[in-house]
Amino acid sequence: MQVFKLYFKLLKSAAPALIIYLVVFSILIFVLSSNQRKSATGFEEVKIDMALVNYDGEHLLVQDFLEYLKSYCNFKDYGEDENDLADALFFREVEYILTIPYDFGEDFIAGKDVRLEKKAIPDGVYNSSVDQVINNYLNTARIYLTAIPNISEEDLVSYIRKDINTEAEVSIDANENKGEENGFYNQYFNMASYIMLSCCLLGVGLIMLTFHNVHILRRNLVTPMTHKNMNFQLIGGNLIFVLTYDIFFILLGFLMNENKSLNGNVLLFWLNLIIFSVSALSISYLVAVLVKSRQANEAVSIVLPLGLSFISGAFIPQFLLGDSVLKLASFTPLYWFVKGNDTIAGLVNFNWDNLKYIYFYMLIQLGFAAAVFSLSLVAGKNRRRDNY
Amino acid sequence: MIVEVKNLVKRYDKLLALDHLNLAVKKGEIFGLLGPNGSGKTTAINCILSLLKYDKGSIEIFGKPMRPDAYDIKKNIGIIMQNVAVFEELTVYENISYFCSLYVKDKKEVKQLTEEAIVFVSLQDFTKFLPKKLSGGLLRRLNIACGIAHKPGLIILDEPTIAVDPQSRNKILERIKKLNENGATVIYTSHYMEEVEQLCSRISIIDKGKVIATGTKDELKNMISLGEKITVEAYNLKEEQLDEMMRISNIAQVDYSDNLLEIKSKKGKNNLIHILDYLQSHDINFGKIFTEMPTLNDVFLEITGKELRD
Ligand SMILES: Nc1ncnc2c1ncn2[C@@H]1O[C@H](COP(=O)(O)OP(=O)(O)OP(=O)(O)O)[C@@H](O)[C@H]1O
Ligand SMILES: [Mg+2]
Repeated sequence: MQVFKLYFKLLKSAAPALIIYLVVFSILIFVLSSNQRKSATGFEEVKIDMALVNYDGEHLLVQDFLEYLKSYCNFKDYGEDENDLADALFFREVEYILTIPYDFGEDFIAGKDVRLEKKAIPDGVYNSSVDQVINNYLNTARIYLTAIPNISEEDLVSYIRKDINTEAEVSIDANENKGEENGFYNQYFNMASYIMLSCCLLGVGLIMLTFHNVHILRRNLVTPMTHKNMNFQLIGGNLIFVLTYDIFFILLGFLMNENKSLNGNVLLFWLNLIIFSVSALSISYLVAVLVKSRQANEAVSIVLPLGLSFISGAFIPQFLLGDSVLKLASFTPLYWFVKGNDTIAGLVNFNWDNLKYIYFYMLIQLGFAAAVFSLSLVAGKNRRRDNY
Repeated sequence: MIVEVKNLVKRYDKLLALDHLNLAVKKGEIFGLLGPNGSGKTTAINCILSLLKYDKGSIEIFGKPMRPDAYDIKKNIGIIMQNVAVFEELTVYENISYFCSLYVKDKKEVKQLTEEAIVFVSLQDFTKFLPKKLSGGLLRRLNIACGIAHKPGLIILDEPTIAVDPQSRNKILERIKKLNENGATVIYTSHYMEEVEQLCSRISIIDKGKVIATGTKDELKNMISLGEKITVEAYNLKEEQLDEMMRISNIAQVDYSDNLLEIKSKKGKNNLIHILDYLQSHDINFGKIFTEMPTLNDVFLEITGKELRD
């Protein structure tokens, strides 16, 4: 356990920087959460402004759906131009953009896997409530379509309305806080990823650089401690390190959030964070193998997380970023982490169809971590051979 | 034999760093490995410790073949590397204690051994210092303490006095002698012949990865034809007198400048007397006289045709 103990002694020299990161982040989050408290008002009193892009104007199901949505939203028309729409969102003229694709109604009834496209401002308090209202309608429709094959469109819409008008109010009331709470967590965890990556690069990088130093490495190799044992203890130290951060972020988020309920969304946020921390660890390994000095590692630990966080949407929502930026970002785990969070925030129905996307994003992060770990192993071997 | 190296060959790509190197270190001795910079001392040590793969040859320590996984052998070796290998973030005490704890399981024992090692290298006043706050000499002493705290039977020191002031150097040499007196076998590499002469009971001289001579310092000096060097403060010597002196038996070389007469003699008896006789019989005034025995540098010079240090 000597190396394991040593690990945390060595961390001491990075402790001031690590603590500053956490303190600044905590203050920032505190401000964020007090904003959240101010804007919390009842959902029923407010209708949110929504830009509607309807490519499927005629279909009866769509017509009825929009009619139903009117009691929750004010529709605004900004045309179909993506830039205009993005501007409207950016300047908060609308909080939500809903796009209905061509032949949506027909395809939906035919049982095809069609989806409405949604964009929303990240801290919109009622976004999830709107999501839920929409999901409610479509899920009910799906149920009737499965239960009564060949049902006519007229029957379908009247059944749905009968159903929903009795239930919707209740279910929305019960979930009144949900959107608000997810909005906070969504932004909170997106931003936490930046701190997580910075601190990992700094802390883990410091330790790995120390132990990769050829003189220190040789000095350890001539002792009776096996090389395997040493690596094992180092990996243990690294895992404890990131797990401590995971727990810190989970607890801080829990304390700062108004809503203390532990629902499925919250658990998924947590899982996503833990998975992301593994890929952050892998990046730290690789950087430590590639850079030559502690100064270089510190520089990378400042620049890399900032850059990745910007292009991946940890600070600015992904839908406000350009396609080419996002394409670039999609080669990093941070992008998939943020995408996962955004999806979890909008998740109302925990069925496989919705969950599979989230699990898929997590899987990509794990795959990335595995690839980067192997890469740093290979790079580390080459580097050692150069020195020997 | 404590260490036995046979026909060790090590290449770095094209460079032949060790060329059929043979070494044999006996129990209880201080064995010196003397060679100029780049002669392969560190490479030899790293091969002996299984830190480097080598191309040919065999290495035995304590009578057993040395391998990367020979942990029972490693347990009884103390190593002081040429490059100081300590943790910048740990204090003097913590560094020694860490390395000691890799060899010794019992916590109390580690504590005691650490404290003993600190006293042994006289770092009592610096136990809470970080390495970067230590002077070069103190840092070397810390490096040594980290290597010997667990009281190993074999201690290998690779140029432990490099970049160290003469006072610290003497202290270090004295400590190494003490370790040897306490029962440890010592291997000591250096390119300072004075150190090796002062310290080692047996010496191998190495050049270009090859051992060119082995023996006690007297044995080594007897291998060459050169005898003592005689320097005389003498006045008004003439050219022809220098030529005459060259003809005295056993004189190899005569130089004269700034009233200093330097004579290199070959091995033989009464060399000094012959010279003094000559000076007296020619009424030459002379002042101070000193003689020097040949050094290991002379040995190196005669065998390789170049100076040990350039
Ligand atoms: N990793 C390496 N790659 C290539 N060549 C090397 C390497 N290490 C040492 N050498 C070469 O091998 C030769 C022996 O080097 P080594 O370090 O063993 O010498 P040394 O006797 O310890 O010298 P010094 O007194 O300077 O410490 C030198 O010519 C050196 O340049
Ligand atoms: Mg060397």
